Amino acid sequence: MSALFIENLAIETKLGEKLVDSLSFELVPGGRVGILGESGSGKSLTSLAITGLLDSNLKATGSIRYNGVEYVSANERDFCKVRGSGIGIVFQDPLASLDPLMKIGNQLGKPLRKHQGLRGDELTAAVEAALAEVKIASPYRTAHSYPHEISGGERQRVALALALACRPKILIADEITTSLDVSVQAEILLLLESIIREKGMSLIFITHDIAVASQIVDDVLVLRNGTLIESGNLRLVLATPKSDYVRTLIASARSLDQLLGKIEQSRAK
Amino acid sequence: MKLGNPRMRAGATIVGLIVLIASISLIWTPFSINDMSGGRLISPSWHHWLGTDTLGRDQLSRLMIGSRIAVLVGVSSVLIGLLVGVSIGLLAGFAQRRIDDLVSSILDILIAFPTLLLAMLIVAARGASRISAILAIGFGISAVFARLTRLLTRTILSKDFITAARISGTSWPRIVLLHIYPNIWPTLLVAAALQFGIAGLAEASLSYLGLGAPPPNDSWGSLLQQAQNTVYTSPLAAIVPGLLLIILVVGVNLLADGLRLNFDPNLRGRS
Amino acid sequence: MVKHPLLRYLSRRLIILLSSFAVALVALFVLLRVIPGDPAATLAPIGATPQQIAAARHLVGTDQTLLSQFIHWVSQISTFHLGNSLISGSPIAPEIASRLRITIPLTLISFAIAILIAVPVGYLAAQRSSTWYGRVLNTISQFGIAIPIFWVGLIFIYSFALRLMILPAGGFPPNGWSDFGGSLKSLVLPVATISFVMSASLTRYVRSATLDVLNSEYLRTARALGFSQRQAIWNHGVRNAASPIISILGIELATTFVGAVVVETVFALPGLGSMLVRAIQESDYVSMQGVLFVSTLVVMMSGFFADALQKWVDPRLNRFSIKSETQ
Repeated sequence: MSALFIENLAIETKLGEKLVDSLSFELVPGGRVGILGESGSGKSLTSLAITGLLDSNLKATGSIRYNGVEYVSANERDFCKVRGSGIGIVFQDPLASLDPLMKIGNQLGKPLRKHQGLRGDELTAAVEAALAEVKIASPYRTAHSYPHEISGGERQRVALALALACRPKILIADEITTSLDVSVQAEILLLLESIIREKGMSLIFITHDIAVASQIVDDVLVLRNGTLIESGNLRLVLATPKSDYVRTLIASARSLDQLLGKIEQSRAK
Repeated sequence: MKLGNPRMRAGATIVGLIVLIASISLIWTPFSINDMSGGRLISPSWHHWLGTDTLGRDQLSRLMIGSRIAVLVGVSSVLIGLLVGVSIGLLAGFAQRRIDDLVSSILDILIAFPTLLLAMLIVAARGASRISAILAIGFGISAVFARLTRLLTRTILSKDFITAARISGTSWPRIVLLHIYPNIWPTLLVAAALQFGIAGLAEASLSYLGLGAPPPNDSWGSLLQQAQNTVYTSPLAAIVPGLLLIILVVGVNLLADGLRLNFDPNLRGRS
Repeated sequence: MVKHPLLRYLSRRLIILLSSFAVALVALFVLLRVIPGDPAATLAPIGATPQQIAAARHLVGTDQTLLSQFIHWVSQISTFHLGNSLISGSPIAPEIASRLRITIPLTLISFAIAILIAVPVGYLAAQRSSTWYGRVLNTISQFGIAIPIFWVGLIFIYSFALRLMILPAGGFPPNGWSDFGGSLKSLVLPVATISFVMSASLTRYVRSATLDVLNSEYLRTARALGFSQRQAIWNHGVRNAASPIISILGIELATTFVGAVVVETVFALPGLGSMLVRAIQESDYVSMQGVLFVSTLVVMMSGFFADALQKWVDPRLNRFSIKSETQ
């Protein structure tokens, strides 16, 4: 069973300031949870705590159970076993997340070699296959390019391919569409959706954008200033929000939607 | 400008103390530098707190005068460097692509040369004197200021608010005054503090090599050169001037660090 | 496949190098012609007749126009005929060559040792920057850049040569490197002096570059893929840290060279540096020209090689470097 249980997760600084407080949720196998919130709400910190990648002056307390094993105070070696093959994570800024001095093919080759034990020609083929899987237009050319030589959308696909190379059971997507153009956003979301479905992975999707979240997740957690405001099935929460905060979020998203609808209508005339 | 952080305060205190000593030396030193009555190479005593040199002159007085020279040369060369460097940097910042490329290449070459080597070159041309040293060091560090100013100016000029200012009819000189100067002086101040330390070290090296001003107004570098011959019998004379130099440069570096932190508190804790 | 852009970059850099060298030559020439006084008068004996002075001028070449002097000089130095010293009258090229045999090993060995010290110390200072000894290391290197190099030399002379008497206080064996043991002994303290100061400076750069890598997002990505911190640093960190460090290696080597110039006076070593100092003191501008020409050559070439090395490590153009923090 590869479920993830988070109970009363708290993240605090050395000075005792709580950045995340009493966060609890469960991710079932195949489940898709969205963590929604503005910047500073603690959503990215949560994903870092789950993968043990928190900054050294932050401390996570509470319970993080993956596969029945408690990880909240695990040491680096134990986390290494979980990261990648258990829980994978893709970050927001692909330009910074990729080694600028290493060709894409080499970078992709490393996790493929480590997690799938491939070598030589098999490895080269696997690299191109991995790039093709994330719908990169020309896998050969991309594999021999440096990160700064390809587009932002392609870079994010490469970042996704890196995470997938480890064959994770759970994938955390931390604001992966935020720094992309709107048209590219849609493509990446579609790609993510199909891959998750195909491989039966669980997903934690972190974003500040309700519209984006509603396209891909089933359940949602709304965070504000580190605390959980609301949670539950996405449709339900959107239809019957229990807190003012969520109501405001929905309202502003809706008014934008209406505005876009009006513009479309006037254009159709 | 609030007197912000501990580094700045520490640095300012150290530099302030040395400037104070230098200023005092203008009107008073325990002994006159021409007073050779002290007896050769006396160890520190009540009369002469740091002993005397081979000609019987009081070491403490000589050190105080040395501090005056360190401050004088430091300030003058930095001022020259700023004057020349910032002007060239501004011109390059405003210039067309071609000219700017040319100036940049020349600056890159100059910066690749260590300041002391450039200084030695100029002293070689003009002959050794205090003014030569000041001009030489000033020229050497002007390249640093020029490159910095050029970079900052180009960055600022590419911003939208400059276009807005031009559209609303602001003349170029006013733009320099209102927009460029306020944005670059903090960085230049920090750089100036750092270069002051470098200038001090360069002057000491030049004096040590005998390429600085001739005696009797000896800088700490000259004092060290003279102390070398008698270092076995009076090591103090060889240690103290160097220590003072170190203290001055450390103080100036602390001040520069503190200023940098003051202007941009978001910097991580690294040197 | 990668060579091509590298070769293109190198040839462009070579052109820049040659043209900047040309500029430097002109500057050198002009600068040294500004010296007050007539070098011919120094050559000719006191009370010389106008003909004798004219003859001396002809010897030195100052009776020609500036331009023809320049052309004459350039053609001479391209064949490494660097002229004769105004003071001793003997050709300076052989003297420079023999002095280089001291200055070059001094510079290179000191530089190598400084790097060997700076890399682990800088790395440690960055890796353990939050611990007390990390901070101590950082403070020490901050101090180190404030220390005058000749003062360190003096302290070493006092402690090791005069007090402990285990090393010579200066000088170099008269028959040079044929007395290998004696030569090495003479270089121990000078090398120690230069390495001491240079390692402080280099440590700061290594620490800064390492911190950048340790805080980078690509390192975090590597860890997110299941690699340990050590593996991640080895795979990605080393190359990324090397790039900014290499960018300042050229300048640091030039600074080491200048340090050697100063240290030679401290330890009375018959190297290029002491020759330069003597030439400046005696206004022997032919010697000055020769030494400065060779020094310029050395400085520019080290810059060129450092640039080539960096381009090999970091294929991106206009990579931000730490150059602005030097000097």
